[in-house]
Amino acid sequence: MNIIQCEDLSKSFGRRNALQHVTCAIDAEKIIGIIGRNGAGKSTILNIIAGYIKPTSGSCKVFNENPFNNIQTAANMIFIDDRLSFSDYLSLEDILKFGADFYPNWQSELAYRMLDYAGLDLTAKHQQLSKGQLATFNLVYGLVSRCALTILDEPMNGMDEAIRTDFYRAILKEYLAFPRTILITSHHLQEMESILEEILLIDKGSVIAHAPLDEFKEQLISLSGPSDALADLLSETEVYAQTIMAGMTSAIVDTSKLFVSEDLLRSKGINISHLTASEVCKYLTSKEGSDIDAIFD
Amino acid sequence: MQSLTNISLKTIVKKQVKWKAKLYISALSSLVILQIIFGILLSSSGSTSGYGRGNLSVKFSIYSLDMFLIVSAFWAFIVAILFTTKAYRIDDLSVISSRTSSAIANIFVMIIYSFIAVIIMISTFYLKVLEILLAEKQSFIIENLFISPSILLLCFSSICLFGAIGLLLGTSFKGPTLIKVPIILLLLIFISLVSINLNSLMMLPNLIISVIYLFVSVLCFCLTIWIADKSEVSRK
Repeated sequence: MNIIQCEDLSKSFGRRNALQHVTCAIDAEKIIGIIGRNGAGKSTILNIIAGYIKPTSGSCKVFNENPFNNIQTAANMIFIDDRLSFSDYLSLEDILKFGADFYPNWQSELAYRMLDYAGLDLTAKHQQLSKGQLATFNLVYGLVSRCALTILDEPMNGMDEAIRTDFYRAILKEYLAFPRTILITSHHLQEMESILEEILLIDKGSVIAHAPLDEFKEQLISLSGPSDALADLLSETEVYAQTIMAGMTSAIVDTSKLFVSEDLLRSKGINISHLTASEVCKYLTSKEGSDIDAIFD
Repeated sequence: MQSLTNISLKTIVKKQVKWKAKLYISALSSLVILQIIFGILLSSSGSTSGYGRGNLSVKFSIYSLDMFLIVSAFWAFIVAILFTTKAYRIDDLSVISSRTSSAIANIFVMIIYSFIAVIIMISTFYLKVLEILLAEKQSFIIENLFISPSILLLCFSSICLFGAIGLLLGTSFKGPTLIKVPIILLLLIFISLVSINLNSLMMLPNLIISVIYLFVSVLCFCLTIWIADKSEVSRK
């Protein structure tokens, strides 16, 4: 069952088009990675889903309702990012009581245990926390609220590597204990690959891929071998990146447009290697002809 | 699939009012300080006049609630504007809320605070009277009831009106451009009209003035909710 349904969704801020004709559907009880480069439109789509902003055109339905300024959407959704803020008068302990009063599925015991594990002082004020501690507290707040739709926008920003690894496990364990739809955006795709079921890739305001993780990784493939053997093949398919060195070529190509069997490729001395999701994202969203080295040449 | 939570707007508003009234309590302590500074320390006496004939000299001073009311109304306006600032709006996004629920909660908090402001105002006025009694040792003529219910209602409606205008102005600034410009113009026209006709307005009985003030306050509150309902919000 789809809990989020976007149809031809567009959003402009003045002359800038943040989202352009986005159509996507997100199933219930899945962990989905919303991936894209800076300024791709990830936060804009999340803000529309959360009901904070209105689309310029198109429609967005969350739990079959228009989420904009909708109390039912708000009651079943929590949006966690690094700008989550609370009154200056509340200590962390007060914030937990505050959350418990609002969210019906709130898990107080779990919150205390997780904050104790992270070594956070409950008497501290939210704005006194360091960047990493703030991210940890916000993530705990988001997880223990157990909302049907949990949106985590860069939840690990500022956390050190050890705590990041721990909290990816915490997200997964919490999801298993209480299945819900979790949307996560992160720049650390490699780290969170293990917990994702699907990837929604956004680039320049458009959804360019939405698929289960394994399917997503198979979209591109790396070929390397003698330039002569690859030349014909590359002319017939879409090439995302290519390097030629000492008569050897390596290229990233679109798997769906490669109509040659792996055995045949191997017989021509061409090696095939699979890419990680992070690499696929990088190639799918890289600008044509973009090369950092070219700047310094 | 996990069953969805069904919460009514009324329940959320109740919870928001409870927390907001607790968290914004410092606004009331600032009013106490303002009343003490302006009402007691800075205004040393009321309006004084006197005349004499032969050996007889009569001097009388009129002490009124005016200064206390002006301070309270100005305080209500500033506090209402503060309630609509970005920091407060972002805090609302951290729990179950919508712009509508937050606007309604702010209105209720403003009404509760206006009521408490009247109590603070009257208390400081009594303190002032006590100070004069002890310091001046002169006779007092108390006009009718010291503070009549109609005066209390007028004070409450005046504070509420300024709070309502503050909420409307603050919410309008954050609302869609198509709405904010006409609303701000409307407010300016209203304030100019009131200023021009202030004398004739003041001649009306207290009860009528209170009803007019309350009516305008309700109008401002309704507009505030309507604009909030149309407004976008972002943590950025």
